Amino acid sequence: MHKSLLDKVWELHTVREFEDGRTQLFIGLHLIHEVTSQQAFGMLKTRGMKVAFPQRTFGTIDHIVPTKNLSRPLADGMAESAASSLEQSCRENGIKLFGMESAQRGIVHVIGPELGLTQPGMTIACGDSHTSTHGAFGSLGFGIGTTQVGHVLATQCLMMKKPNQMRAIFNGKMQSGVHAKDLILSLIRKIGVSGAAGHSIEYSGEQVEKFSMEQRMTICNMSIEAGARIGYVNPDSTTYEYVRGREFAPSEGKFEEAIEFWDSIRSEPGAAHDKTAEINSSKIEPMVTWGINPGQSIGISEELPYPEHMEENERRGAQKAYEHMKLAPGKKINGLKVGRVFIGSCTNSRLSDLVEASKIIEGKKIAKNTSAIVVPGSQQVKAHAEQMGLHKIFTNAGFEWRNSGCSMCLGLNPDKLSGDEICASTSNRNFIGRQGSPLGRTLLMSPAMAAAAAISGEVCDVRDML
Amino acid sequence: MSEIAVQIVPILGDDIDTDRIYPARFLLDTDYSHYADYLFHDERFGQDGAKKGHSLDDPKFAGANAAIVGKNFGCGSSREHAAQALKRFGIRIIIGESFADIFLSNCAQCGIECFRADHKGTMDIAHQISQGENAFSFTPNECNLLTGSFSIKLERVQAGHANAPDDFELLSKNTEDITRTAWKIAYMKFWICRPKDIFII
Repeated sequence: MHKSLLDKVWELHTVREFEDGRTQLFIGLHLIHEVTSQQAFGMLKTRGMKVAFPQRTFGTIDHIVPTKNLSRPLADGMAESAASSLEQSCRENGIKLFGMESAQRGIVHVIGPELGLTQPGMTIACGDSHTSTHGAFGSLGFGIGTTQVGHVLATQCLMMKKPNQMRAIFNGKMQSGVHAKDLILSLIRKIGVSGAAGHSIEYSGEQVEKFSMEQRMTICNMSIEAGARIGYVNPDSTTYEYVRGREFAPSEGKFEEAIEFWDSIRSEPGAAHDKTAEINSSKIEPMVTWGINPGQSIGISEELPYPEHMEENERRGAQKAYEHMKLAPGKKINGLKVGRVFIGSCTNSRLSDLVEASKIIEGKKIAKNTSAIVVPGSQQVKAHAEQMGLHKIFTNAGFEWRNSGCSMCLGLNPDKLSGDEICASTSNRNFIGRQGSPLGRTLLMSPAMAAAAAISGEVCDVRDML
Repeated sequence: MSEIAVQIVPILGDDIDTDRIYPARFLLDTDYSHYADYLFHDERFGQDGAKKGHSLDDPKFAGANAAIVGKNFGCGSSREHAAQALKRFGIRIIIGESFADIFLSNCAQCGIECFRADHKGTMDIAHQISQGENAFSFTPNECNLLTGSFSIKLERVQAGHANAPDDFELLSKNTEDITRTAWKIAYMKFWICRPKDIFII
């Protein structure tokens, strides 16, 4: 039988199989942050257990971190206590923490790859659903809950049911002005937000092979928005060249040995899949979400869909979405006024995302009545962008240039929407209340599209600005 | 345990995400005793704190130990807080058309059992409740839910009941197997930028 990458990596990490169909899997890399690990450390304490492999867990502070004023104690007492509790747990357990002052801190799914911690063939767990991001390297990234964070701390293992397997093929070549974000939004629209539930997704096809690592990360990041806990791309020379030379990557002497292993875990031609979805990349235009889940999106030139043309279950969701978004079917999304713009999040805050956005705004000014912030994914991304002078392009245009963190993706720090503001956002979720205001309205799009919206003050087609 | 008395609260709608179940701004509160108040907070309470008439606050459903939900319940964020809040509210059983993967794992860890019914099944149960029939009995072994002349067979999605073995114990039973598996994996040998891994259970 021909094996997929998932089959091989799963088998390699299997400690034991249980009668209830679950597998005890060894976890190669564990990433923790301040929001979902506090109670997990508490569980170990209660049980008198210690961290089993402290060298395989790395921590950072990203969800609550303010992007303007970092002075301690933080103004928000709950945020301060989350940060100091993680600092203490890491100190007590010998866990490396990229803390608030670290030049290497950032969003957990940005720094894992950036530091070379994320490598092909690994099992990676983190108490965050966007752990699927790490699949871009041909690893298996598991988003887990707090009790499971406790399991990994205590045993370096997870109890998991092996998922069914889906293949998503991006054929053809994207047009200019179209980005990885548009492709993944198209896939989620096509298969629905539960289209890959119970499945892993293997991304392949001509366009995926051409993608940079950062583009692959954007795609894998949003696997969970289609219901898949895991999404991955088979590793290739693009992957290896990205990993080479990074701080925690295999050293030069060991690198050839590593490549041999990485090559060996690629899916074999003919490996079986339970489901397949295909997207013709050349037919995709810039996408914008109009509703309250990431599957409710349209191409920029399309009209908002009529619920009466939808299947019954989609119709109910669409009605709720129109109610919250205060939009009406039949209209275009193009031209919708935007009050806020957020460029950031583990989906789209890497250097190439900032470069794409800066190309659109260079020499221009953001619209009146619109405010816009850029939150780089990590302090290293920020430093690199500043070396390139990107911060000047953004601030000259009227953007605020901030420190790194999760920021307005989920509004756990001071950066939030207020009232029913409309935000053009490069993040991953347009759920009701997601950006910190119960009435807030989020439109997901690519960094280039968000930059274009900032300049014109309304949703517009970035291809007209190229 | 041959039969359980079940009272069901409806939380209908598809693709209900964990941000709606447990808004992010309450994530930093580590005191589980507050979680029931945060459950579906923004759908239950207006900005002035007044109740909006959500089914969870309907006196008809007071004391419910089960919930009936739609498709893809619990999608989105991995926050275990969502499952914990349902548990602290008193929910022990969730019956739905389908559930999101991470939410299911979290329910298993919190001791909430999840069962599947098809769309017609969930609608039938909701109909029974709307008719005021809300004293069900449930037989976990046969997965049979009944009240009066109404009876429906459910599909068990995952274990996670109070008597299920604790995963902390199951996982830490075989430390030798863990180390043996770990050192078979190629990257464990070449990823040695940090001190050698030692198992210290």
